[in-house]
Amino acid sequence: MNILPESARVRRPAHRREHLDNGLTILIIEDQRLPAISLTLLLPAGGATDPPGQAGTASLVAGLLNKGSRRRDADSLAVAIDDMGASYSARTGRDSLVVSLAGLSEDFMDLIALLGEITLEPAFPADEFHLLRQRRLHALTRAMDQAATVADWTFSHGLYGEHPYGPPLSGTAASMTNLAETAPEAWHRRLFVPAGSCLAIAGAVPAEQALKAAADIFDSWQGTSPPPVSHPDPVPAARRILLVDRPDSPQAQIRWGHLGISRRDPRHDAAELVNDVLGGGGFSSRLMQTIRSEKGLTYGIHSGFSARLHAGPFQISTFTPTASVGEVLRDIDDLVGAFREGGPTAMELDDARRRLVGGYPLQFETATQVAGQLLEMELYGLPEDTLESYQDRILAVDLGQAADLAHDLLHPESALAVVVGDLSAMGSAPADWGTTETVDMGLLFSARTGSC
Amino acid sequence: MNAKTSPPVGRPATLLTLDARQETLTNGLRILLLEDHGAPVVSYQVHFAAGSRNERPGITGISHLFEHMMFKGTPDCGPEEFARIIQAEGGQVNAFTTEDSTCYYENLPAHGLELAIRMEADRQAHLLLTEENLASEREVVRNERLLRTVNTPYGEARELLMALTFPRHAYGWPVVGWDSDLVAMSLVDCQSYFSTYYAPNNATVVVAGDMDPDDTLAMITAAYDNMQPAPPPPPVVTREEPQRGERRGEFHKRVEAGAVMAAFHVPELTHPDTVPLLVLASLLTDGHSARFHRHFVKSGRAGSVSASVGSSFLNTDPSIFRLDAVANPGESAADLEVQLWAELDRLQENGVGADEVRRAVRQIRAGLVLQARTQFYRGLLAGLYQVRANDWRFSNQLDEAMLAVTPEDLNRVARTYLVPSNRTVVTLIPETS
Repeated sequence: MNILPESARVRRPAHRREHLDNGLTILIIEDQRLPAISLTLLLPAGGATDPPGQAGTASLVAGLLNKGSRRRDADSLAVAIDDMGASYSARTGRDSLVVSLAGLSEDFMDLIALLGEITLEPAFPADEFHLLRQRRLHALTRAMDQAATVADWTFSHGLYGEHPYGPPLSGTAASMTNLAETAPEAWHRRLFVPAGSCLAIAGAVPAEQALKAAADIFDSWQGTSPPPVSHPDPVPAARRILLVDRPDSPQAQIRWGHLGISRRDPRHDAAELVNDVLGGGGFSSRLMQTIRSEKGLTYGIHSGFSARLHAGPFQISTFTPTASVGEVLRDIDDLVGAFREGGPTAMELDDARRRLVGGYPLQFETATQVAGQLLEMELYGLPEDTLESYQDRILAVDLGQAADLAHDLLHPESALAVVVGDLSAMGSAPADWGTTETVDMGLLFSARTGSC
Repeated sequence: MNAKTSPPVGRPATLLTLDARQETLTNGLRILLLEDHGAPVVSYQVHFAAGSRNERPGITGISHLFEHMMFKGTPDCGPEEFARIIQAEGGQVNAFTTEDSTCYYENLPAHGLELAIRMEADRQAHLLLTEENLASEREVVRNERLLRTVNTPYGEARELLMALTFPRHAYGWPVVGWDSDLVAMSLVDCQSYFSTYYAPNNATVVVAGDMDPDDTLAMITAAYDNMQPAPPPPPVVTREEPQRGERRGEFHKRVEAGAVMAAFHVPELTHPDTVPLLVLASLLTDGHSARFHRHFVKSGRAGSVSASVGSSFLNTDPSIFRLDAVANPGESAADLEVQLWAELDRLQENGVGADEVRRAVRQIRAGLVLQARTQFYRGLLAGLYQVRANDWRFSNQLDEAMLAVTPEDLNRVARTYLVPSNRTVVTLIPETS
């Protein structure tokens, strides 16, 4: 029953993996199906490197990369990108900064030169720093209108506190306001280095040409990584609930969770399998079946372990009409509690295994998706055969192991719950939550002063 | 198209040409087969020519609510089993409803295709509609409406904008429907909707990806051939009269930042002016070099600005050119609106530049190639345009028309459609506690 047929085994295009002398890894995935190419530069440093009190620094660096180079100003760079019809993005994660440029393969040489200019020669002009920072401050205030964002940020802050995974990646009003004009350039000089970084080139360009162009442009990149800073995981706290008031809101956003595991934890893939049964498996999961399909209390509910270098959160996310908050929180407690004690049934585990194993090839449909998978291996230092062995490893997880994992990884006794909604309409806080605390998000994260 | 005074500024060759084999069963079911063996993946899609444009007051939102009911089971497949079975084959399963059509899809490993065909045909022929299923799904949909519309800063103001823009046509109500209609909808309404719109002669099946067209056609024929056609659904006859004067509305809400939203009436997707309007929207706000992005967002004058034509993949009936701008916290949306019209006036007076037109065309065309890397997206292009433009080749035609577009075309459509008498404006005004 647990043997994988050859037809279901993931089949991905061959790739080349090379290193430059400066330590940069280059991945080439050649794919001639469509005249497109995507370039992705991954740097193994993200929001978690923001110094204390300077949350949002890495994110601001990402935003400023295309706002002027040593050769051109921001407008000229924008015209150069848009002239090719290219898509540009620079995104910050907790553990990474990823710059992507995608376009037509006939523009490959111009695209890769532009990527080099943007990432290696940013000028960080002062006027652009002030413009972007002001936009970010406004965006932080506007984010308070998005209940889901408020819930996510409150949950991270509640779970991680002063740990680098605590503050919003885009910073807070206080950290942004205090940031020195020179901070982005200093961050870039210290952390934007080739060692540990990886450039993936995926699409319709011959591998040899791609490799030569990458070497020509990125060979001159210099710098060594600073010693890694260790951050001890936060100590699990007692159960508690944080309430954020949103007057007039007819629906409440709910988060429920606790510390999870690192992406490098050998249990990671099996943990995803077990989570699939609880709340990861779309319409079929226990949380969806009870809270959406049977009771109609929500449109969606999802649980998951976040992949991070250090222990990421295990988080359940949902929303429900204000009057149903207590019932949904009780249902989550009951469902997680029962799953922790009993684990999945044989049929649930079999379905989840088939779902993850059968759906695996869909994650390798395009060359860009293949590049994304390989970059994840690079970022977390996982062996390359992790991808090849995935399906066999998932099939090998048996009922006993799944039950043990559910028991070891789920911790209702130290759960943190967050509710963002109309507190006056909600009535009293749900019973059996140890500590209840009301938080004013505006004061914590945005530039707003005074209470709601 | 119109006479041109300058040469085309696009690129010389098409970048993405969809190729499909088209078949029709005797019961009227249309089938489009897009063979591609690049990856062992296939997308199976059923597109029904039924969306909110086919509704009437009292049952607004029934197309979308019905989409949910399609997951509630048949005599051979228990409630919610549909998704479980497809997912257990490694498939992704979902559906979406728009103004003009409803689409059900499965993206699966190639060997799962037969299962998807069998299960889609089963629920199209034998769906079980019960009071109990309707009761729970009604609440799920009302929750979805709260999530996407009510509990967001702009959702309700957008509803007001559409209601003011389309006082007659069905585009005036949201796809998710009015809450009071969702509450009132009955099982009889659902049964009537099912028998009217879910017959094979109102559906297009699309298969894109790693499959053999002959084998696939045989499987589809076996699964669907027994279904009986129904009388053609009643045509949508209501038309908006030309707008003769600006319409305005205000929506007050507890939000941090105000916004201004405007809609200008424009023609249906097959009209020759659609392509210049698409390029104009892109030229205004796509990319960091776009006019309005630079003037409003980069400069810090506004939080965001976006321009668009109709819905994603455009609309069957005459639709709108949308212009939305979000003000900075504490700044006036009314002032922002004044600046928007000033910039639009400037564009209409001075015209657009050949460079920015070339750039916008390139962005749209390259963006299409980048998206069309998945079988799912290629299938959507063929299926959605088959339903909306009555021709799956429509995306190829759009691409060709992009090559021929000129600055004069853009100037003409800007001066024709983006005028005050043709616009409806809604301002979102922050309310203080």
